[in-house]
Amino acid sequence: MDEYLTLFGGGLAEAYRWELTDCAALCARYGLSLTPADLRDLEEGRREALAETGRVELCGGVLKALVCALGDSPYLTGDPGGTLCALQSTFYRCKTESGERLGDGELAELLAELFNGPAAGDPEYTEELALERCRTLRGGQA
Amino acid sequence: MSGALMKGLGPAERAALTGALLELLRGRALRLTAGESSSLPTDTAREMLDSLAFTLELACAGPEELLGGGGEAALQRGTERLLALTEESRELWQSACLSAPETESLSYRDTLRGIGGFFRRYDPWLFAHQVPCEIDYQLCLPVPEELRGVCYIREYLRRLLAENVIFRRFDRTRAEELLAAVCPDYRVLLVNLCEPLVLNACALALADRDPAELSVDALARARIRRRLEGLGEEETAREMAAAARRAFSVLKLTGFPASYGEQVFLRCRPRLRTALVHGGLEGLFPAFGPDEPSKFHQL
Repeated sequence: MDEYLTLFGGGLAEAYRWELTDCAALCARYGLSLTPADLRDLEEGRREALAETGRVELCGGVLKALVCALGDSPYLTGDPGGTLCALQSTFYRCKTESGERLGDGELAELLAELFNGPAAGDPEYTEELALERCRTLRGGQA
Repeated sequence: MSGALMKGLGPAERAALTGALLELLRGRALRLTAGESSSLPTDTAREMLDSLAFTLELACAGPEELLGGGGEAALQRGTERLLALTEESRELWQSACLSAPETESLSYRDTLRGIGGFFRRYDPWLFAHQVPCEIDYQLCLPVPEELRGVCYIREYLRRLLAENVIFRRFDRTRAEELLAAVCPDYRVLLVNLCEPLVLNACALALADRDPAELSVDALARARIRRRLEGLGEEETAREMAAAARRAFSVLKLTGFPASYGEQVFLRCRPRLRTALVHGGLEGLFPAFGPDEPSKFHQL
């Protein structure tokens, strides 16, 4: 079965490239620009985050959901690619930490709420707060 | 299954088949997450893939069908088969509950109860290959490990029912006396209730005695020894099979329970041959009753 999952990885890389292209177009709508280096970092970051959290992507990725939730953030300036990359990793960590209790849309909204609110644009603090919320969520519903 | 599907395919076909399977997996993942998650834990994806492979195998789906866009139809066919097997298994379980030996056995009772839970927890759409219940009770002849999901449960119940039929051919008191002679704690330990009965009944037939007696006394053991001593492997097996058929004919056992019982008896051939050479027939075919202390008392 692992052989299949590896093979799927090849097929999904293609899907993710499309996701990145869409994501770059979506960012442009918010007046944000992603450089080719950003796109490479996002792809690499996604691969690492998936491996680290023991997850597999079946439909491309979560970047579009993140950009939709965070595109109008006043804090997404300077290095939007780097911030998105950090939040993409946070997203997968939270997904696992919540015990699959949050849908992609809900989680993206939560990250946006924390990033724009108490974390004031700090991706690391956003992750800290989000993981705490996810643990509470899992503990509360276990 | 995964290897079998890919066998003989070139790189382009392998890639196409992988894509087709990925589409099927995506569809199942959407169902699992209600469309709310694009990613899954790898373990879950692996299990779902295993389930897909199992369902496609049941549907006898080959690469041609999957590459021709027939994946969903094949999955549907496989799932329908799984649902039919689940219904069939539920009926077997009900029959097993109704025909269960009245003799007390903790593991038997817990297992039957556990299998009842299987029908609530089994998911033929997403995790068809899993057996979500505890099965402690050991059958005389274990179900082959390659059987999975509801196929495993159905075969387990089919065998358990055969054992119930065999068990009920004997007088309960004598059966329990034999079980106590084999293992005094049989009620609470993982002891099969049927095997000692089959072995002793067939052994008695080997000694030209009534299999319903169940107690293999010294005289019967001497006759068995005389009958089998010096015989080769094949001749021993022939004698044993003939004795099993005689025993089951006397006990009016036919069909699957009879052939199952015969296999159970034949399976003890290596132990029987060792006992003939080195002694210990009384351990294999114990005696019981007021004049026949159990092997534990003899110690």
